[in-house]
Amino acid sequence: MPPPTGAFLDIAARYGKVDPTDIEAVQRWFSTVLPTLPPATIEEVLEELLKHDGASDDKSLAPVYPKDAPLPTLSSSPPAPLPWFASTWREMLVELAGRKRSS
Amino acid sequence: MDLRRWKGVRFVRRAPTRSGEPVSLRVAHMTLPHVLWWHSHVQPIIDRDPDRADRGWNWLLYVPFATVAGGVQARQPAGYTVGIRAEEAGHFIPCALVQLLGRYPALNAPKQKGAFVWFMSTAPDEALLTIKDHPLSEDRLPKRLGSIALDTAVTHSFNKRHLGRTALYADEAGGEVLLDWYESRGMTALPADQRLPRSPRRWIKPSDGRYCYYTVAAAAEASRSLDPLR
Repeated sequence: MPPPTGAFLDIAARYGKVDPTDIEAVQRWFSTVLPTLPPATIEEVLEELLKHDGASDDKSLAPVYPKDAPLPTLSSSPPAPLPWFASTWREMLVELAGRKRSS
Repeated sequence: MDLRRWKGVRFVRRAPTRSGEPVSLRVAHMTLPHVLWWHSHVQPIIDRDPDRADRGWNWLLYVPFATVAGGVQARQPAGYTVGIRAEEAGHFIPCALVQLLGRYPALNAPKQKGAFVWFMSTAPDEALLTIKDHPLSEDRLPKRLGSIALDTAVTHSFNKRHLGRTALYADEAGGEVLLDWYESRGMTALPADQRLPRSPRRWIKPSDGRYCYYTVAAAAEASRSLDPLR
């Protein structure tokens, strides 16, 4: 089970100065801002969340669902990479080509 | 001889359906578009079901720990989306999400590391039958999604050279049914009087008989049982 929502609200307020009563702002901070922060900060946030891992939820906000988010595409969802020896030759070549493109 | 410990394992690539014709799947790294679609279309349906253990979950809060995997070395979090490959339309339809901590003390061998399934969720049938842009018919729904999601974590453990060691907590909301299901998949429940390895969980959510783990042998057996779907 995920850490309680309250832990996420507190962290967004502390690290991102986000209003903890605004669930959409908290969602935005976690989904788009946090991944851009330095790895050490992300690690700190993760460890902080793990300190609350398994605790029951004390603060919950009514969920806000994004409206009509489009279906993801196959082209933007490549297969998760495999270890070399578990892959076929074709998969190895696709993986190599992908690495070249992104370098 | 089973080489999966050394070679690694392929992820599942198909699921059985009621029609008898398997449906093609892909396991991808979890990304924000997957989670946005899930929170827009699947989570509202889950949230209406009082019996679901994943009711009220908010994947938009959890997704960063799937996308920053490389940068977070201590726990090595990883997130996977199991999705239907709809080749003609070019759609990838998420039907299960798995978030795990890739480097966690193994419950039965604390000096060894394994994967800890932080949380995972499968799409209810209703969510897959009501996709506006891509309606699926009932006889084309993927079956065994729970086993496939769990196998994704076990496969991750094999591929990171943790020999398949995988653990999780069977949420109380799932009751005995959920615990029995994990045991039916070959997992062992940690006895309530056995302490968890050193981690914040030991104090916040101590061992209560609902922590489950795969031994190395049980992980290999569970993994082999899904080989026909790889």
